[in-house]
Amino acid sequence: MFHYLWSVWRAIQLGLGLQPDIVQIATNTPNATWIAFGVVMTAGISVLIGQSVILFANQVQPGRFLMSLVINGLLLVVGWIVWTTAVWAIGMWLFAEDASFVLILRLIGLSYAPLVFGFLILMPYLGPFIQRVLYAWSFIVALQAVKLTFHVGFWHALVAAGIGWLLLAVITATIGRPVVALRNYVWHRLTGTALDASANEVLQQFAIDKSAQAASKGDKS
Amino acid sequence: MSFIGLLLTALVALLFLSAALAPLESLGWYAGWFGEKEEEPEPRMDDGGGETHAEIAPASHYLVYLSGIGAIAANSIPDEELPFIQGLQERLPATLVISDVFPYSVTNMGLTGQRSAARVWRWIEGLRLKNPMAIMAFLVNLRNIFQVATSADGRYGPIYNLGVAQEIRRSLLRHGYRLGSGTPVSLLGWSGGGQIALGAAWYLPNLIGAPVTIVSVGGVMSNDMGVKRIDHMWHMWGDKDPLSPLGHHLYPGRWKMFPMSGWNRALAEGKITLIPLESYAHNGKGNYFDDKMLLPSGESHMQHVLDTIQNKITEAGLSTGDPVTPVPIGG
Repeated sequence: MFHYLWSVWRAIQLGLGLQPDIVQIATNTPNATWIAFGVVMTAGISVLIGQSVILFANQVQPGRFLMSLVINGLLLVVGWIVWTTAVWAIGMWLFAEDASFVLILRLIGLSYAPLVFGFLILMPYLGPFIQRVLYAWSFIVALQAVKLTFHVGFWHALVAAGIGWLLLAVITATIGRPVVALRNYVWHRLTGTALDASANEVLQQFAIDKSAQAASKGDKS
Repeated sequence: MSFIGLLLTALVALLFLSAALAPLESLGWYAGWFGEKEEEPEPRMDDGGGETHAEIAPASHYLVYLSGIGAIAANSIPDEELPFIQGLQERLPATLVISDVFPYSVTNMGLTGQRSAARVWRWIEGLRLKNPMAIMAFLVNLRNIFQVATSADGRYGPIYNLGVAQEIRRSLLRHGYRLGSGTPVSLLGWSGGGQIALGAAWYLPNLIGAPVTIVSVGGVMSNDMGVKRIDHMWHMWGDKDPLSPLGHHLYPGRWKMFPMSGWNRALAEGKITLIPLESYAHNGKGNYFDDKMLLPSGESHMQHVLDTIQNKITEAGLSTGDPVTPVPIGG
């Protein structure tokens, strides 16, 4: 176990900026996919810690809080696999090179490494800015992963990743809607909170609701 | 990496970590993870605030003093503020001045209260008593700055400010406030206390069923949604004060280019009176509490601020009626 955690830690360090030798490492390291899974899980847990205000505002108790973190990690793992599949399929279609699915899965898994700092989104004032930086950083590392896997330049990688993203957006809004609804339902059942409402909406509503309750407490009428 | 480089990296990491952990106190309190959750027995509207405090004669106006980021607990505020609070009570005899709310905790628990790190804060408090400029005392400011930022953050403000507003309400009840009487309340926020006052103002008018005004002395404030609920705000700041304008610089809602923001609309509606003070600093010599530094008029800095507050509160017709029996500072 300790050896695995150490490997995940090393993978996170490597994932913060992919160097060309990563292809060698990702190909030859035993359990590399499993290690990439660890990186994505850690990122999912950390990001939800950063956005945990939504859980606290719903007065989620510690047990459910921990479960929510793990579920968010698993959701990110599903996202990682779907996103990788889309990018790989588009890369195979656009580029001459035949790339290994497992290799790009591992490299894109490593691109989630910046999100391991997602807990910093908690920071008052700077949090939302840090969130944008971390996501941009992660996306840039993912482009590097596409570049290294398909041996293409930056713009080609951007096109593949961009079309992949568009494809997922279209699928999510159309034939994927039942899947999204199922995901939201499972999340709601397990954590007791809503996944489809934005944190801002919930908090605005929170302030209005609490204020109305205060009025019934403080007004004679 | 050299030793100094390593030390600096560790310090920055520690700073980031402390900032990230700052909102957890209020979030955990709201979720019932820690801190007191039990509400006090609810006083009835018609019995003047419940049995416990019914014997205290109500005042015709209350002013709640919210200290700056140097406060360690409600009863441990920097010495320089004590004559100021006393001066407020003397100049507004019909107003009851209250100063037992610690603005940097949603449960009114001072840093030296029942906390895991209370011993450390008590040690720092001891150091500060010996030397107000002790470097370790800066940790108090830093800890409280993070709480101000928590109050001003749209993600945490709704929870943080609810906690503080409830504490202000409890304090008012302890001092004989009669719910439903419509007795006006002013919140005086000094420095970071300005933001806390503004944040609490979103809930407080509803919690007590009465109008709320704010007096900001060098207040550092965001474009908080609480500005929509205030009756009026008088905002004083010095032209040598670099900290008070931070609220203006850091929060886009206060920029002129967003005329529809809550702050700018309140300004346009005349709900905010800006009172610039010449040659006032935020800290040290020439600050708002300096009773030695004299203005060309012959008044001291502190006297002038007190005079201004007295005039504004009186002109607004808030402090009228019989003189009250003052309460001890921090009590």
